[in-house]
Amino acid sequence: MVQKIVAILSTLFVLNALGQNAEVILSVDPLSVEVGEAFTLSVKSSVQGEVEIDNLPSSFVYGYDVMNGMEQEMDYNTGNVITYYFLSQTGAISKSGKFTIGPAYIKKGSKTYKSNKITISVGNKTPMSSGDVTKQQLNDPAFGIIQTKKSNIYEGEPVLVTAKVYSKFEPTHLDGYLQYELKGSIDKHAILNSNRIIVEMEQFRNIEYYAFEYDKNLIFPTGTGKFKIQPFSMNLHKGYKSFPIKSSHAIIDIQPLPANPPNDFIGAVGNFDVHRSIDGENLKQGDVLKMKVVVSGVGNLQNSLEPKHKLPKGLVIYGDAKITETISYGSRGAEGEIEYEYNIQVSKTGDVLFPPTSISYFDLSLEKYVSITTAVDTIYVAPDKNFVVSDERNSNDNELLELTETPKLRSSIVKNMSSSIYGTPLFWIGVSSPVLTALIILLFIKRREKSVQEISAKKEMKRKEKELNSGLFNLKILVLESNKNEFYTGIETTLKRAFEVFMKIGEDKVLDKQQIYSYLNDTGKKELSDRVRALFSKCDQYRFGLPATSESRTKLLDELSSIINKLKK
Amino acid sequence: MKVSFTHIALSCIVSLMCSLSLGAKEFEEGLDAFIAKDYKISSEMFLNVIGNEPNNSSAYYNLGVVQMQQAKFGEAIWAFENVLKLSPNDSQVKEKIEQCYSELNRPDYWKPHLNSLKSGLYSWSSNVWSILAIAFSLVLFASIVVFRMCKAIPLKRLMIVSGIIGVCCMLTSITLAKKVKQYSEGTHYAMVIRKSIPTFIEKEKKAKTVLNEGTQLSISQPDSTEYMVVTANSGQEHLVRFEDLAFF
Repeated sequence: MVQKIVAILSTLFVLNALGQNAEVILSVDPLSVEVGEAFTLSVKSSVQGEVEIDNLPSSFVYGYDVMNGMEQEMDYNTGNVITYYFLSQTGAISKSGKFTIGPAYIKKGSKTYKSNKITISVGNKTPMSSGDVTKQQLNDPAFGIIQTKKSNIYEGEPVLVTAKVYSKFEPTHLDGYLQYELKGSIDKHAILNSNRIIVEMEQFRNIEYYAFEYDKNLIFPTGTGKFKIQPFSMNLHKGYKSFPIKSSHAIIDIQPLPANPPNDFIGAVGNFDVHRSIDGENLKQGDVLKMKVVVSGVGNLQNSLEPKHKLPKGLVIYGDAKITETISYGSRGAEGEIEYEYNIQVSKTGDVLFPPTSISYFDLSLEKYVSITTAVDTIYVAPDKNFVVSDERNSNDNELLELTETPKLRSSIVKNMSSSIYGTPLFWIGVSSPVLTALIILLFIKRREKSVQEISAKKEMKRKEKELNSGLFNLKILVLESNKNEFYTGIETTLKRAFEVFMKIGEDKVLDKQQIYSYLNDTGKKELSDRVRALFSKCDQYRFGLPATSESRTKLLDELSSIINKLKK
Repeated sequence: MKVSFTHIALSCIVSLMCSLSLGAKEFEEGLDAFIAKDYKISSEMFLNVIGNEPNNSSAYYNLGVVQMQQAKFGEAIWAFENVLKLSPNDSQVKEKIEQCYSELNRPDYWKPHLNSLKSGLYSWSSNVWSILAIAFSLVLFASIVVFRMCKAIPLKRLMIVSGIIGVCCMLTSITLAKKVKQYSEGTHYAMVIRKSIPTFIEKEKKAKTVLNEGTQLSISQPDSTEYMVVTANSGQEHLVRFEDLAFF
């Protein structure tokens, strides 16, 4: 039993191994180049082995860049992970013409696997037009120019731009490169640049220079008019010596496309073709077929619009088209194809006619719009009794048709935009009055608080004046009495009080001697200060030293009165 | 004297009512003509409504749809742009303009004049922003008064925060009210509604460049009467005749 199971499993394994097709794909990017322009030749395979590419043209020059490696992809139908091995080689062809390369062979053990063939078209090298060169630049040891393939193009037409450097010395390396710039929204694609810079001897205005190209880009400017390409700059080195260079600018004049394009114009500028295929064998009523429309060519393919289809009744396109783009960017523009895949349900029976799909593009060589169409396709749809063309479906279709033919209008909703109140006196009053009112309230409260303080200060002053007067009166009585301490204290207190009144101190606060002296010094009343000092010291002297006679006390009182009178003046 | 003033007031009200009812009648006639597929009459009716009620966004929208039916896509875009000027957030109108652009087979794409943030902010009218400014001014007033009156520190802090927010919102609302008024009342853009129009190097001297139908332009020098300098989306400036453009 076990032997039988093992035998079945090994048979299945061998069959699986035999059944697995080894895939070898040869590809070229881009598909059309100019003489000497670099392209990449790639071989991708699910088997690993020795790679050999057949029919390489004798004019093929191997480039420096060779890359090989592996990658893994999942087959979503089976869930298997497939390992692909790839080898890519850059190179260029030195002759113009169409060259068929391949097939590529992969040898693994005794087996050899074969790839497809591929055709590359090599055009003559078109001279690049250069921007202006100044006399100063020609005198410099090195200078740069922005070269464009064309300086006068149509709207949508791609243009090849490169930075070209001419040098009187043999450059060793460069750094600090600042790219040339084109203002506005542009679609820009770098053209295969080798990592190595190839310096060649070239004549420019009858002088031999070392020359090289750098930073080659294919650009698709938008808009019309004159567009200025801003200069590039770099530091060119010869050994340890550095020479900064800055190129001059270049100008591209973009002409608008002629007015009144055909209705089926897809916005493409260049040279294009259209093909259509319908996968419609053994169809029954209600089946869904696949229609593929392929737009191929060179120009601004990536910016082209989806072709429009006018299908007869009974053919309904479901959903949006599945779009597959295979585009490579070369010196001629964006080249390749865009495949639009539609799912179409057929509810008609018998011979169903597909009207041709037509597109228009602007042909640059003819300088006019060119319309191309596919052939008319006919498919046979067998009737299916089980397929019911329901009324609901029909009514829905009719509704859809109605919607596309006569869209709905809006009922009268007037957007009430009667003149704006912004900027009117009403608006400014509305905005400023709350803020101003708040500020006025603030000021009012503050003023009120201030007035309360002032009133209390005035009261305090009055009280102090009263105290001063009563103090003087008391002193006049005390001068004759024996209680000396009380007299001297009274003198000091009355003097301090006099200063408080004079200095308008509205608070309930007693000044000290130091404050009085500093006040008098600050106000320049030196003499008065000396007199006050003398009065205070005499009071202390009589209080703690030899007792004073009533005469001396009277003198003190007179001095106090004199000081107060002086203060009052 | 009193009688004559009353007469004037009454006649004003009556004429206003008449013009409104006339506008409504013409609008209905425009709808009927559209259903009857008489697009010429329909567009005339909607144009008359627009003449009477320049802020009727529905009339502009319907005019755009009618022009689309007549394959006058440039004129349709102009009508839809006017709807967007009145209600910048109208996504249905944006779709319609994109549809017109694809019908014109232009190599460029339509770009709305306002970004999504501005469309959202400008969808409120200048009046709404003005009223909001007044409301925020009142908030500021309340904050100042409460701040001065109250003695509790947390409440005072809260009032400081609400006052600052009130000031910011009030200033923002005033700015937006001004901007929205300028946008809705001013004429800043123009477009080509004919198949193509010539451009000029100087007056009477034509340039090679022509501007095709649907080209969006912003007005660089609005003062000139016969010729004016306009800027295309690419940033390129052109001298064009005043009469060749439709403004919005």
